[in-house]
Amino acid sequence: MDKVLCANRGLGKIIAPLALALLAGCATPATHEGMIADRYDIEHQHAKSVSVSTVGGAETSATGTPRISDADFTKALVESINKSQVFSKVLPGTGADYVLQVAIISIEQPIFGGTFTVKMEAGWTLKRSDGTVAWQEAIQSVHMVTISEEFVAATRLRVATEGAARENIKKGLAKISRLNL
Amino acid sequence: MNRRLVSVLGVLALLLSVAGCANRATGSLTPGADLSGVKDYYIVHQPKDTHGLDQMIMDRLVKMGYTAKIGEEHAPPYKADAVVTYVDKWQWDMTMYLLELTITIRNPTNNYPLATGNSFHTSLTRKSPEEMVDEVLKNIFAAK
Repeated sequence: MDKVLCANRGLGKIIAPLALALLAGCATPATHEGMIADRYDIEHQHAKSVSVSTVGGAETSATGTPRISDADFTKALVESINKSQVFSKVLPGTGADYVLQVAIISIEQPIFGGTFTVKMEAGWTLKRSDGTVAWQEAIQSVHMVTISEEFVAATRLRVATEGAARENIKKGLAKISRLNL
Repeated sequence: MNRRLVSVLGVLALLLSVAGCANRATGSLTPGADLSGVKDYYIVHQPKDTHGLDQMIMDRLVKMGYTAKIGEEHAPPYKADAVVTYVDKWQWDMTMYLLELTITIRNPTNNYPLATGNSFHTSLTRKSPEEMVDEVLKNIFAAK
């Protein structure tokens, strides 16, 4: 009986790290807080209102990789606009001077590695209230997180994904601030 | 004790099997984009592509009734109704297989994305590259 218990304990030592490794691999979604930058490179703060929307995002499944949901990206975008003051006001729904639509086109994520580099592309469209396009551009961004910055792989991938989104928002708002609206 | 061990192993096996079966197949149109007028595609060859995915995409588009050609990336405008770019991710599991394929259809004048599709299949549900191309393009053209 003692031998059986010892064998089981030995197996437990193998199973426990395995289970931990599996759990560590469970994906958590990119958070909107992680997609908001500390500083923005803004040239002009437009005295106009804007409404924003996001498409192309996806929900995260536990067995997949971290994804960015439309709701979280929109929330990060709204907070970034408020923080940078690139527009004076963000209005929900209709009635704003401009409508900003962001389509998340692709998020390239690595599977293995010590350093995770995530690339993101989003299509940014700014429309006037009459529906005409004021500006449209595809914006690409990259963010890299090393193993020394974040040890757990699943967290490292999420942080790298948030970083790529944060960079995308920063670039997009910087470009909008340079428009003559 | 043995029963507990068996159940732990069972859960681990289940987790492993679920992790090995992850699939994703999506296709979406950028708001306001319309592919109905697109008849001629320019497929941008990816320099790192050694599996001929550009040719597979072209073959599939031609089979769908479009005209298509392959060429190098250059600054827009492209001489076509739309530009096709792709990103392929391969993985090793006994043999190399295509883990993920993303195809994006773009405006030929400014490279703005009009539509995109993605197919992700892990080893246990792997598909051939031709099937992945087929799946992604079908999803793109079915997107509304």
